[in-house]
Amino acid sequence: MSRLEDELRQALRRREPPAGFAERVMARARAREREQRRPRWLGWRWLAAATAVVVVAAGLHFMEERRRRLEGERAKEQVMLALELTGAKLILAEQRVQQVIGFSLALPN
Amino acid sequence: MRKSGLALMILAAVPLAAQQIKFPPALDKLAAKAKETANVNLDASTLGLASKFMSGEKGEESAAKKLVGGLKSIHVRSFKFEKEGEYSAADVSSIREQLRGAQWACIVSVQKKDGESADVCLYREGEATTGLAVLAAEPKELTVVNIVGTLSLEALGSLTRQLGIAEQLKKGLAETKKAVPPAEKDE
Amino acid sequence: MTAARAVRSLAGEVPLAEAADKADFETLVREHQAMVFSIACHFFHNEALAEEVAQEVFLQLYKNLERIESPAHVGFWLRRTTSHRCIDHLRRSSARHEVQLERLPEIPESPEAGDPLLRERLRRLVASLPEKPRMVVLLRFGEDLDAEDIGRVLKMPVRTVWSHLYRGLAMLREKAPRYLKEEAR
Repeated sequence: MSRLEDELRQALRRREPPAGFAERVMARARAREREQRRPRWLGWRWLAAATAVVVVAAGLHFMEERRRRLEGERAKEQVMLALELTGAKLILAEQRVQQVIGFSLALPN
Repeated sequence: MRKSGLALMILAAVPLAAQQIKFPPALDKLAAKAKETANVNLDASTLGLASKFMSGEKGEESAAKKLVGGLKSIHVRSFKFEKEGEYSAADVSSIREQLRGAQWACIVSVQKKDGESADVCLYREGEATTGLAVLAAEPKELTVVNIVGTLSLEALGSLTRQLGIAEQLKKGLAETKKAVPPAEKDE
Repeated sequence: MTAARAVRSLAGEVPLAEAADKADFETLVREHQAMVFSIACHFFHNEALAEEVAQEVFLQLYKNLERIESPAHVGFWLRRTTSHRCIDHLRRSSARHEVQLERLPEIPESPEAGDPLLRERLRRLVASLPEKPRMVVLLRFGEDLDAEDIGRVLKMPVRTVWSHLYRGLAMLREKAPRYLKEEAR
C-alpha cells in the first residue's frame, strides 16, 4: 500500500452532512407529497391555494438558503486557494534561502 | 478566474490601506500572455462569509479559519506562462518600490543571477504585524500575494512549516532583516 | 427491520402516508446520509452543492422505493444513483467550478506528513480530476470498493475501471510531494 493511497483513504473518509440534513430531506419529501395529494374538489380550493402558498414560500426560502450557501462555499474555495498559493510561495522562498545558505557554507575561506 | 475591468476600477476607487499593495496595470496585462491565471480579491466581508462556512473542528479548515479571523483582505495575482521571458523585472518594479517603504520589513529577499527571486515582507505597526507581501518570480511563473490584517503567526505556521521562515515569522521581526544580501550570485 | 418496512411501503402493503413509513424512510436517510453526502462532497469539493445533490438522491429514492428489492439493495442503489447524478450534474453545469489540475500549485515537499492542509490539498486534487477517474478514485479509496463493485456501480467493464484508476493515481502522483510517491514500504 503506497503512502499516497494511505493519504487518499484518510482524505476521502466519509463525513456527515451539515446538521439538520435528514430534517430538510423529510421536509422536501413532505412538501412534494402534499403537492401530489392536492385536493381536486371545488370545495377544497382554498386549502389547495393555502398549500400552494406554503410550498412556494418553502421553496423560495430553500432557494435563498441555497444561494447563500453556494456563495459562502465559493468564497471559502477562493480563500483556500489563496492560502494554498501563499503557502506554496512561502515554502519556495524558504527553499531559495536554503539553496543560497547551502552555497555560502560550501565556499572556501 | 479572470478579473473584470470593473472590479479593478472599484478597487482603485477605495482608498488603500498602507499595507495594501497597489498592483500596477503592467501586472494585470500579463494575464493576456499567461496560459493560467489566478486572480483572487477577497475583502473583509467576503472573508467573513467564507469563515462562516469553514469548520471550526476539522484540522484543515480550522487552521484556515483561525488565520482569516483577523484579516481585512487577501489579494493574489499568479501567472503561469508557456515559456520563459514572458515578464520582466519592470513589471514588478513598482511593487518592489512599495516594499521598500519604511514600515515594510523584508525577512527574505533572494535574487538569483537569472532573475529568479523570492521576497517575503512584513508590514510592521509597532510590535504588531498587520500585513504580508510575498513576491515570487520564477522562470515561467510569477506570483504576488498581499495579505492585510492582523496576522496570527501561529496560524501561519501551517503554511510555512520550514524552520527558517516559521521562526522568523513567529518572532515577528522588529527590524528590517534580510536572510541573505540581495543579488546574491548563484553559479 | 425498518429498512425492510420502507421497502414494503409502496408495494401496497403499507401506505406511504402512514407516519410509520415516514419514520422508516427517515431512518434510511439517517443510515445512509454520510455515504451519499461524502461521495457528492468529495466529487464536487463543495458542501452546498453536495447537499443539494444528496437531497435530490434521497427524494429520488422516496419516489422509487418500489424498485428497491432489499435493504442491502438500498446501499447499492444510493451509491449508483449518487455517482451518476454527480457525473451528470458536472456535465450539465455550464459554470464548471472545478480548478484545472494544472492550475493547482504543486504540493511542496515537506518531511512533515501531519500538515493539516495536506489532506485538504489532496481532496482538491481529487476534485480536479476528469469526472470518470475522479469517481473511480473516490469509490476506491473513499468507499473502499473493489474494481468489480465499482464497475457495477458505474456500469463499466472492470478493465475500464482499472484504466481510470491508474490514470487518476498517475495524475495525483504528478502533483504530490515526493514522500507521497513512495511505493510499498
